Amino acid sequence: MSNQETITTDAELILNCQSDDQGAFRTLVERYQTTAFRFAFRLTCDTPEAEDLCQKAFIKVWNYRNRINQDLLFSTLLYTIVSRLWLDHTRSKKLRFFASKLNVIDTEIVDPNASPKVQAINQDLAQRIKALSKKLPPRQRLVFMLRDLEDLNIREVMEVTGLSAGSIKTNLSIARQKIRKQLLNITGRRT
Amino acid sequence: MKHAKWIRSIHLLRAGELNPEEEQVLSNHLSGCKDCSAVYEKVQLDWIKVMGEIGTEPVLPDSERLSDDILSAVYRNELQFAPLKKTPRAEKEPFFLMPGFRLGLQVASLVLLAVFFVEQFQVTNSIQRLEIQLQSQNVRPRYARLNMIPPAFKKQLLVMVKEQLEQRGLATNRIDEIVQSLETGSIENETLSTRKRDLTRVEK
Repeated sequence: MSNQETITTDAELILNCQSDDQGAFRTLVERYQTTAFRFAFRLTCDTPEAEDLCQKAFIKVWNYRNRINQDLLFSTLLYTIVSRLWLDHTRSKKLRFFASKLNVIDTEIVDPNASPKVQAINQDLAQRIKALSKKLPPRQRLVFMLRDLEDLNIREVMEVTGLSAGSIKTNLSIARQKIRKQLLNITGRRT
Repeated sequence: MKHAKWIRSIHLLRAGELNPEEEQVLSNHLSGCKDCSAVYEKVQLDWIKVMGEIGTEPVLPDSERLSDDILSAVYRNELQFAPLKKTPRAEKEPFFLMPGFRLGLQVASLVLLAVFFVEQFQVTNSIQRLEIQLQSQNVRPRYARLNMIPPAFKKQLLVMVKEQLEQRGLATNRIDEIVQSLETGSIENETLSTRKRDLTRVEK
């Protein structure tokens, strides 16, 4: 009985958020922050940037809480917000300039709060993701991350990206080919 | 070329986009086709390698700190964009009660009073000078200037002139004539000789 009382569905939490219940929002954040961070990290390949994207995404969730459709999965909504924020982020000319000219985002920024072990794991993973997906344009990268790494089905990817099923399949196919090719290049160089 | 269809199906299977029936058909084909099963193994191996490279999950450094950061950012943002409470304003007082307007009114009335008194002083002064001129030099005033005197003072002045002329023993009809001409201002047309005659009579 007590479990039934404590476990609340996402829809109920959203409903409570809509009546300005900050406790419900905290529960929602604690429940989904790992998902949001994981996806944001795979897109940005950087821990502080991923955390920033998470913060911005949840700010949007809170600000637009009254417009959230309760029939939609909250995870899908979160993926949508994070991916749009990331696309905006990559479109920003300034950041692109700094990323290309100074190349600081690739290597220099590390989270000062993270333990050395966590830092090492994340940095290693970030480098591998970057190495494999560096030839992917944002749309292909997004579709690949959502479908193959986040395990979303085509319908969910359609909801998140706003692309048609055909477009998603085409982008996914090209992304996979490029990644395989890139993997062969890397393993070839290693051996 | 005939394997192209099956290779495409192998990729679709890996991507999880085949339905159970299509999966069964592909499985049957793979069990009898060495080329396609080699492709299948390679695709699976590649995928395992890809996942081995990038499939691991990133570690969230400090979930508690992140949730605190998120919540504080959310509330900070909400406070920042919260609509400001409007402070009630006092009712606007009419313009004539405003201190500026009242001060202006006081200054204007003082200026008007000053102008009025200066003008009064000038008029009185000119009349006094005229009287002194009449009394001491016994010379007729410049009547044209009399027309410039305000009517109230002019009337008073004419009374004074009349008294003066009576004291000097001028004939009554002549006094009336002079006063009348002073009133109408027609004396300017009189000749110099007439004026001299009047003066000699006064002298006598």
